[in-house]
Amino acid sequence: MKIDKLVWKYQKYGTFTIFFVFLSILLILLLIGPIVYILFQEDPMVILQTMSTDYVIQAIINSFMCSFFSTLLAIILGVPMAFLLAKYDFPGKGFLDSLIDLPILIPHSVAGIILLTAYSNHGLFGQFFNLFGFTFFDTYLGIIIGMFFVSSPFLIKGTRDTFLMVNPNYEKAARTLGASRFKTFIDVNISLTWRGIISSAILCWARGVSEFGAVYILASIPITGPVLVYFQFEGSGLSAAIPTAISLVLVSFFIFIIIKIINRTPKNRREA
Amino acid sequence: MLELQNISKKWQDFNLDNINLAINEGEFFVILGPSGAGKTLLLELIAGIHYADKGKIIYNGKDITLLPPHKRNCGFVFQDSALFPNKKAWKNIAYGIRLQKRIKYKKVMEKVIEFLKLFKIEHVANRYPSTLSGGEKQRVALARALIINPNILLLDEPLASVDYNTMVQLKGEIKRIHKKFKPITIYVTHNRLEAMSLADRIAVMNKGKIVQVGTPDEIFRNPQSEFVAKFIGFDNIFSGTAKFNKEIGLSEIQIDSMTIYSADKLYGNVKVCIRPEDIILSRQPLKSSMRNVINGTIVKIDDLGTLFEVSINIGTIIKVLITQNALLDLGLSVGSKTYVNFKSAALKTIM
Repeated sequence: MKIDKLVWKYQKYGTFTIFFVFLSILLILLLIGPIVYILFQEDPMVILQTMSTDYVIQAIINSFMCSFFSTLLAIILGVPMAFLLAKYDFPGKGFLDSLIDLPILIPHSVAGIILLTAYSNHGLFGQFFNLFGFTFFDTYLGIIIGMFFVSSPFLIKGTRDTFLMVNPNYEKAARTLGASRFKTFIDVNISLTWRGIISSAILCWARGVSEFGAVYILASIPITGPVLVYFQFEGSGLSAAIPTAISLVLVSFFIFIIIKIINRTPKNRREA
Repeated sequence: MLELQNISKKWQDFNLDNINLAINEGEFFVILGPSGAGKTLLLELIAGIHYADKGKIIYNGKDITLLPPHKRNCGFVFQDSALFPNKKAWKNIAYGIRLQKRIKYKKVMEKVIEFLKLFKIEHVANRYPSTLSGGEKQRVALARALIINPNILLLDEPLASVDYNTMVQLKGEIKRIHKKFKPITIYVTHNRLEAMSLADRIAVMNKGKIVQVGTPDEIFRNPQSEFVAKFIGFDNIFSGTAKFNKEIGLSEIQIDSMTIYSADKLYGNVKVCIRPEDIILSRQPLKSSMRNVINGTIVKIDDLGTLFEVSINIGTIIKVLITQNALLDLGLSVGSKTYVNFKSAALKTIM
């Protein structure tokens, strides 16, 4: 009976699909396997203890809050640009497009060197912002800028793609019905894409939280999660870093899931 | 009155070229043309969604060429209805008037209910667009466009994506609504039958140019070019040379080896156009007033559902529409010899 069912399923899906499923399972094992594996390398009680240690909590808060502000900055500056990229054709658009990808391409340690050169107290940007009393070397601002540099492309690209998905006739309808440009932007472009924008923002935020290289070089203090794990590893070896590493995985994953659930699209509101 | 003066516009693959039109107050004006003619672009220029490269748009003596769309008071109905997917039907309808300043909520609701009733869509008021049928969507879209009491109503192929029965119903509805509110209505379509039954006047458009403007009767009886003739259903168009014969009071037109007669006075190179439904087939030459009797051989018979299209080789291929009864009565099949008969007055000639 069971064999019959298997044979039937095999015929239904065919060798091609089953082979692809096999490859996908292999991929999941390679990617997710190590994450699951590390979870079992430590006594749950030790993990709980680590998670409730002050400096671990502080590092996690630093990571989350700095990435939140970096994402906020990316939204304020990135959404208008994403809109322009989605709606207008202009000379150099293709070039600008690849320029935005540049931070993704640059190795993160190199990004850190670039940022440190520009934002240190001797750099051009650092000197300029010093006029207003801002410093970046080993400050929260430094962390935010480091995260912003590597994560904002995710927001810009994602937001542009959601703008592109909206039928341009909605805008035209709103305009002819008497809505100004700005009103149309809010009523149509934003209200039909805010879920997509938030999805991109989550991605941007997650990328910021996970950033190590750029942040470590520009502002290793105040300590963020990834930097803390690195310090523990450097100072006391692998086993010392594991509890904190596990804590970071669990907390990040938990927050990520929660935001994703909040951000689900209700069925009846989907585009007609 | 709405006037377009020397309007030119290049946009993507479309190219409007020196468009001149004057549309009267309360007129139902149809722009007819094949896809790619630039009809939608012209409509969007009138709405202000695009601006012309050259030329002027004048409404009641006021130059509105560069007026932004939200100040033009044009209602726009799209082929895909473009209802806001995140708003229920009634909120879609209310959108335009809620933007008007100093309008009370109670007044908005009164108006919305009035328009829901007018278009017989009270039952869908609380539903999201994705749950509506094609016909219901277009009714909501019409209500949304008309509730702002537009000076100009622009309709971009509003019936192109609904089923036949809904199309017939909505066509009646659009006519009724136009009579009630009498805005300047500009209706874009590629469907000649829609144009014929709705229009006060028609402009035929091709490749970004207006090629002929006139009443439906003028366009359909008297096309001025081969393109218009073909587009409005003269499926048979032949080139020939004509000579007027005083003795019989008819023009003789030589098409290859064949001579046909026209009631018009013609000289030189002409195009001869004949509608496939104006031709009668017979087994024997008909003894009637019909001047043109030509024999030929059937090369193809296509079933069009209600009618049959018969292609006959008379030296060149001519297409004829006949009913199934006629086809059976005459016992015609591919390879049959038959006579093609048509009146000299059924010919439309273009010099």
